[in-house]
Amino acid sequence: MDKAKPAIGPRLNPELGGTIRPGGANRPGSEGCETPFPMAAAGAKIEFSPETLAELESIIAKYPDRTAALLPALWIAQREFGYISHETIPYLADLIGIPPSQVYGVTSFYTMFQPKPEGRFVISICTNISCALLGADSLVEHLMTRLHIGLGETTPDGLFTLKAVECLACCDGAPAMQVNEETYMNLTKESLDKLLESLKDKGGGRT
Amino acid sequence: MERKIISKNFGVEDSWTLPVYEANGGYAAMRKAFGMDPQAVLEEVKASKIRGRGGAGFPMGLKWSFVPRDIDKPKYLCVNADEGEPGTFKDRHILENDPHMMIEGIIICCWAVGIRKAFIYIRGEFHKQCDRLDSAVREAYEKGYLGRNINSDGFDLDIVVHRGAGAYICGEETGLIESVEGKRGQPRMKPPFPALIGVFDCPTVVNNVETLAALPWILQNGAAAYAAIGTEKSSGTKLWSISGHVERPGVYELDMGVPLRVLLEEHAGGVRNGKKLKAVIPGGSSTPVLTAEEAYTVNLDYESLEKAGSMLGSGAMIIIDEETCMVWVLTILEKFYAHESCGQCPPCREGTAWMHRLLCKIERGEGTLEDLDKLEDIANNIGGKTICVLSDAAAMPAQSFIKKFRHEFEEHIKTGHCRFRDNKWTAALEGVH
Repeated sequence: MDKAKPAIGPRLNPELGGTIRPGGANRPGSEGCETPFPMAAAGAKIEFSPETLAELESIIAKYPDRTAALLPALWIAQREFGYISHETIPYLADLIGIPPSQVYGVTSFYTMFQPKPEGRFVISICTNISCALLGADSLVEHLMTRLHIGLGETTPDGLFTLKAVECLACCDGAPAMQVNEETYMNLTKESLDKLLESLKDKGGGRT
Repeated sequence: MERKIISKNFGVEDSWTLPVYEANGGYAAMRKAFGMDPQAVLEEVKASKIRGRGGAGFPMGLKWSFVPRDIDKPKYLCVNADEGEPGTFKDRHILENDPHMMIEGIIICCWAVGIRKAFIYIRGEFHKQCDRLDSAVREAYEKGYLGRNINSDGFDLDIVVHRGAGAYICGEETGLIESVEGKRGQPRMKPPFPALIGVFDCPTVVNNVETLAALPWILQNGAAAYAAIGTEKSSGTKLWSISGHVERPGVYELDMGVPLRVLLEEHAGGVRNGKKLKAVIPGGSSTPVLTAEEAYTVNLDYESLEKAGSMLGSGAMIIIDEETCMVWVLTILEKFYAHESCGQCPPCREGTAWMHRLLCKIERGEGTLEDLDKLEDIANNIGGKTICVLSDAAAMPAQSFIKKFRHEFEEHIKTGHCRFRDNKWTAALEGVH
């Protein structure tokens, strides 16, 4: 590895302007890769559109207390910006009217709010008991081998992020996983390979 | 026996839509309830003896009756659709197949207790289910079953669907309440109980999806008819989730009191691939494990499972065959609790993490007898010492696994080897991600 680049520490690529980019484009080894999808352009200002602001206000109105709308606000921010960045936290705090520390405390508590960009296809494979009994761990290893990444990592082309998750309440279709919002059940190595191929075609990636 | 009350529309084409639900008799119970005095509805639910289906099994009518009648604060219902207990997937089926049955149950509950706003707390991973629920709520609003003046006599009711974001602890009722309030889902001290001080410091009922979905049938057919199903202390039917090493995993609606053997062999097709049964976790991952012998003789109701030293919990059976390493199974379970501990009580935060670490060591073949003692010591000492019962939920599997399968733990330690898995170690098991 090039000594000028730290092996650990903030995963920022100075060549990309030192800004966290979506799609894992700033991960080590991903230099020169284009970001395959423009969720939030680098350096883009964190700000909701007037329509999104109106959406948020209509949600806030459903609760007796503005703070209660923090989870929906975080969901909207993640939908709009792809992840909950450091810039998003004070922005939401301002909108809701609470301290940024409170927003940070909440977003970091829940596993589905992402503090960093993820791949275009986020594979969340269940490793809890019913799936494990039916071979989930060998499927995790298979995915790691196929994608050449570890758990919690993103492929250099920004196409896939691999995560092991807890019970998805899909034990009747074990082993099960989700790719983004879609659920896949009764998985085998063969069905995983097929799915990965079709996702690659869809994403135009080069994994 | 099989009896379809909650699952009657499962499998019907477009069962999740309002026209299909109504064509099958939907929303008639709501009208019937509106024709009754709220107190009479509450008495009916009490008389049905229905107990909460989320896991704790608290009598539903009794829970409602703790909410003060005359109070100058709003009252709320929080619907627990945060189904996350490993092995449990019944609420997912209800949300997917028949969200209107639950919505009708919500309306009945709110009428009985005098609630004008209900929050449905649905787990974040339920994307498709949340879409179906959103659309069902929209349909109900359009039809005038929700909103202003829904009973033509000035009764208003709003439903807000509130998405969780990945935290098992939000299935605990006070953790859920915190999360609805936009906070970390860290449970509160009880008392005060939510019935007096719940969400937004107001009296709150927290009910599970399945419990609410049973209400339309109870109102339509009468409390006596419902109480006549099942056993004396466990009335009605239950959606049993069965998974793991079983031929036909799935949700089966059978009367309370059905023998576990009947569910496993007659409905779910028995143990997979003709193998022998080793153990059953009978009520979701938190409940004490049963040996094959115990499982084959137990009935599925609150009192029988309690007598067998376990719990009915959420009614989720995890079937484990003879070729499975019980140390490995427990390691997976304790990894889950270590991951899901909310972190506010040290006995739970530290205890679950240490149990997982010790189990990893034993399963790897590097454990000592002292490690096993330490594991047992932790399991025996974290329960009951924390704000919520997550520590108990983590301790019960550990205690029961060690008690009933001690020889497997000792074998790992003595031989330094896992003969079931040949020391095959995987990344998924080790880290608490």
